Amino acid sequence: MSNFDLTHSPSLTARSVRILWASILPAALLIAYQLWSSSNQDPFFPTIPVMVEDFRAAWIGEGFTQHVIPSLTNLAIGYSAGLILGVLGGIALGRIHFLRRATEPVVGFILTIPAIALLPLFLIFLGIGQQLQVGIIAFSVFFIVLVMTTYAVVGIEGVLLDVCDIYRIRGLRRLTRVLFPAVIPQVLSAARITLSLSVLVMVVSEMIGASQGIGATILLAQQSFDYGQMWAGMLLLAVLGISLNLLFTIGERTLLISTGYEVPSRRRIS
Amino acid sequence: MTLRLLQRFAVPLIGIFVIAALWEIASTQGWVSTDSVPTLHDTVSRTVNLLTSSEFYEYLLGTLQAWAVGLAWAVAVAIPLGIVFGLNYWAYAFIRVPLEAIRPVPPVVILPLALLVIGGGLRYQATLIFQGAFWPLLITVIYAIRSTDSVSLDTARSFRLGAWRTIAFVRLPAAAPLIGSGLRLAAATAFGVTLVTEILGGASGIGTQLMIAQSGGDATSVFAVTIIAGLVGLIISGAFGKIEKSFLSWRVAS
Amino acid sequence: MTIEIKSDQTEPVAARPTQLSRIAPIVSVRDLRKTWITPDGKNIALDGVSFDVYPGEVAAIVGPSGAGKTTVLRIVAGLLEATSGTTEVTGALVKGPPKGVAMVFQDYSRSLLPWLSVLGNVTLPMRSNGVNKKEALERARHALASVGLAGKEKIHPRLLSGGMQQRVAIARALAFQPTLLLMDEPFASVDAQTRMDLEDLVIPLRDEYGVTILFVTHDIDEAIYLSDRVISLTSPPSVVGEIVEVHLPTPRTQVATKKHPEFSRLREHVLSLVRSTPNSVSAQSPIAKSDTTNEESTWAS
Repeated sequence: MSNFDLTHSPSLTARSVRILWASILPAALLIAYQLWSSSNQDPFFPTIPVMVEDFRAAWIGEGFTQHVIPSLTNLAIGYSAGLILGVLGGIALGRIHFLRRATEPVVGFILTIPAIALLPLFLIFLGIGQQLQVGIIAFSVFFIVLVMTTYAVVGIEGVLLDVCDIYRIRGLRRLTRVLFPAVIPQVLSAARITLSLSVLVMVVSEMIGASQGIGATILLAQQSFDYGQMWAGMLLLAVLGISLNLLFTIGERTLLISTGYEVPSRRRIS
Repeated sequence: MTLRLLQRFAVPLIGIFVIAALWEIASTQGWVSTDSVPTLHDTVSRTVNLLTSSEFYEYLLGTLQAWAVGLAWAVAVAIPLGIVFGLNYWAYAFIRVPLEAIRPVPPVVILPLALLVIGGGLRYQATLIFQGAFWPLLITVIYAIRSTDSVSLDTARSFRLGAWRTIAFVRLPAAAPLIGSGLRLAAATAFGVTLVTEILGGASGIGTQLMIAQSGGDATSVFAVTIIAGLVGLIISGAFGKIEKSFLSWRVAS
Repeated sequence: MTIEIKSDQTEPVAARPTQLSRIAPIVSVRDLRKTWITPDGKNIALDGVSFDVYPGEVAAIVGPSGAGKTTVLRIVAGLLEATSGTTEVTGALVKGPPKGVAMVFQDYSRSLLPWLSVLGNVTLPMRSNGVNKKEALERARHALASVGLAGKEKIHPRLLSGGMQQRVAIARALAFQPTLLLMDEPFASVDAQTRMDLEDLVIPLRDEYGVTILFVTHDIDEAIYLSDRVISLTSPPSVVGEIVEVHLPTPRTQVATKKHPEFSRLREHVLSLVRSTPNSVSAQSPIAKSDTTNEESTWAS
């Protein structure tokens, strides 16, 4: 017997039972941690109220403008640059058979290098500073988006291309009305994957090559044994990850609706 | 036959050649400073040097050892747990929220804490690798078990296979391909995290060699070691790709 | 037993093409050859196919499976290059998709753009060929009404049934106001009932839009029911076996026309052409065998 069929709209009581059941463990863990940390007095593991206070002190107010904003700015620039260039490159590689086969081995090889391993190389190439963050974020995003977009373009239905040929839908019109919309789902998928990757790369690159920013703060905290600051950094990254994903989901849905892939639906309340 | 082989490889080889030529020309002609980008021939000779030096191999072995240990832990825990949680919806629902909360936390985030609590060394590396590889693998296994198609399950029921036989002959084989690909991903992720532990946490391995070369301004070594890192990643992907393929042969249908 | 015969069904009406055979053809195919080079050697698909299609007629290409019917159509459409031979559409050599040609594909769901509405899909070809927005919308609405989809303009194709999706594709082709309409097994992927409804659209649309129609089908009944002439290809290496003139009374209806003795005669004749011994020495493949079993059942129905 399987309870995996969740396609029926569940009744209100069924849903509340599910929510209750799912909240047991998280609540228990939080309570357990609080009890343990307050009795243990271990500097590595502060109590939850202390953590919250450290969080506030570190990131609300001055910390926000000094560290969070520059970090997010670099993230935004690097991510968008990598995304746009990756999509354009992917469409080019997807459509030009020769180019794709020629660059395939090199691109494939670069992909197998973990993004972090590229840090020292980028450090040597770009030096310390904002350009390092933006550069390495853009680079990591670019390659993944490039490959996934190429794959998507190559996979466009042959019939669609026949339709474009027959009805003489060419050039810019073909690009904007057919090719680009056709790859949007896969581009969105790549964009989501690279979002968490770019946060990661941002933090690590700041740990090594920056004096400001979230990563730099965390590293400094670790080196000066400021555990409170360290936890504050960890929490911020968790919050950042969740909120960025949320924002992305909203943006994704808006994009899919506006390009006609999905229709706005009302959630049934039963 | 050789003509056709040549046709297949001609274009990629041309591509590699052009890129290599551009690199060599750019670095030798000074379009890019050799302080940041070494010449191709220097890089190649340094790569060969390193690959033939026993000292470097010690570092490489250090990296691979940490990778193997961390990955083994992640796999050994994720697969049984994943099967258990995948089979029972309520068990999965129970752990779901903390799972989804911890999963996106990159190992690098807990790196400072781990370093302080555990200190450097294999345990610290294995912990971080575990964090990086375990959660996605667990989720993949759970999803793979849960998504056995209903036709197969109905068939098993009508043949009255019973719970254990259904698991062994229907669910596991159906889940195998997805688990295989999850394993490959976990192996690659584990490798990446291993390098992170070395680059940021100073654990001994090729990552530390990278940082030493970088801080010493030795661009040639940085490029060479990065390329070697890529080669190792390639071998790992290839090996686990083969494992993944062998899982596909379990498939009962199609 | 007396059989009531309606007055307009008593005599077969001479099909238009014989009257028009002295007029320049819309499609002129001469000695078309197509050879595929595969790792296993050369595969001669077409070995000298020649035929004409005259303005305003409906012509069907039939043949055993593998006979290269779609290959011929794609060469006429300019989507495929022939190995040798000439193809002319409205007097000009085909070097790529010619002007004024529209096509309806078998795989309707994949030929429509899912991110555009029905109206968006139908207007796209026009807008890409210099038709201004107002006129494009007008032509689109008219075409959609002609295929029976008035009121469905804003819907997205994936929400429509298969038959309706194919109608959208047909409307898209007609709104384009082509001189030549090509159809590649257009009704093969819909159920039998829908197929009858779609078939009954073809001739009235041809009359309304004055377009020449060349289509490929493996359904002999459909070919005879709709066409003025049936071009029968042999199995590969394919040539034109015979061009059968269809003189059936109009208007053609699913019940009356298919009961007509001339229909049975034509059906028997074309079927024998399609199922005759293959051109090549090799015996009929198992696949071809099962294909004729299918044709047997449509014949009996």
